[in-house]
Amino acid sequence: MMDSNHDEHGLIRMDDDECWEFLARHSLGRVGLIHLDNPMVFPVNYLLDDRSVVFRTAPGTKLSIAGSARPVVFEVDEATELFETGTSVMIHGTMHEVMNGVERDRLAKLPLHVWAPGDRDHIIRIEPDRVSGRQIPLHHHDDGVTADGG
Amino acid sequence: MSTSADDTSGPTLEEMSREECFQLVASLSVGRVAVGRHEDPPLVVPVNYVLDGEVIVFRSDPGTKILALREQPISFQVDFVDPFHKAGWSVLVTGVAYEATPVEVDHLTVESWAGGDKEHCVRVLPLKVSGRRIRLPEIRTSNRGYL
Repeated sequence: MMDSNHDEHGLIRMDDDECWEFLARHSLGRVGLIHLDNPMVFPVNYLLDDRSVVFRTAPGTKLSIAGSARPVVFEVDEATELFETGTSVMIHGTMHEVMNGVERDRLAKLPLHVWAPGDRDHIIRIEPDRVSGRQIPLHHHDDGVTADGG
Repeated sequence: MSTSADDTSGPTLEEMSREECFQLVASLSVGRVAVGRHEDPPLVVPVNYVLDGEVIVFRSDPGTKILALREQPISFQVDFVDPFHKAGWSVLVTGVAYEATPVEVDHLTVESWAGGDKEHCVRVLPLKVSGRRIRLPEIRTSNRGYL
């Protein structure tokens, strides 16, 4: 089942447009980064600004120490228990805080909701280097059971 | 949400105990595994998992995540959000992963929706567990009623 549309595990590869369309439909993602040699994952509410990801965070968090450019991954997934299927899209890119005043003002007006309390006035942007997505095909399971009972 | 001067009962962000964290981890079945790769950002992959005591168990194809696990620290993250109430929680487990022997997983039913040759089970021994929850204010009602 390995061709240009499937990876070596039989998962469907999504093209860039499909990935961005998936990201635009969701609002909760997870930032993955290495902190003190450990991989860490944090959930954030995000928005797309053209083809970049923006979110707010509080000062002093691991996310706010973005510095000038820190390599991160950004992952959004959707699991559908009923059909035992799911989609996962991952961006590899760099994260930095938006410092430009004009840019900050523009982004601050976007409906960038933060559910967690506290002053989350740092706006962080993830600029993508590449995006990739995988989808578990329906009826993927190799257990001999099919939808028509065969 | 109201922000009147006497309203100090907005949502709060609270740290959870290890016990609370595992209770919540046990309530779900899809989480994310993050594997470090030196200076690079981690690989983050959603997995179906089960909890065996405080050990997280998931299936993996040979030659993919498992290879990266052997020498690298691993994290496991799971969260739940309630968009209507704007509440939720997130737990991050940092630990050590190893490939399970059959006897260690015989008693478990570990699903994998992605299918494939996922005959290998990985066990993640937790070293550090942290979790935070957005706690909503209790709804205050007037004993005088409204009507």
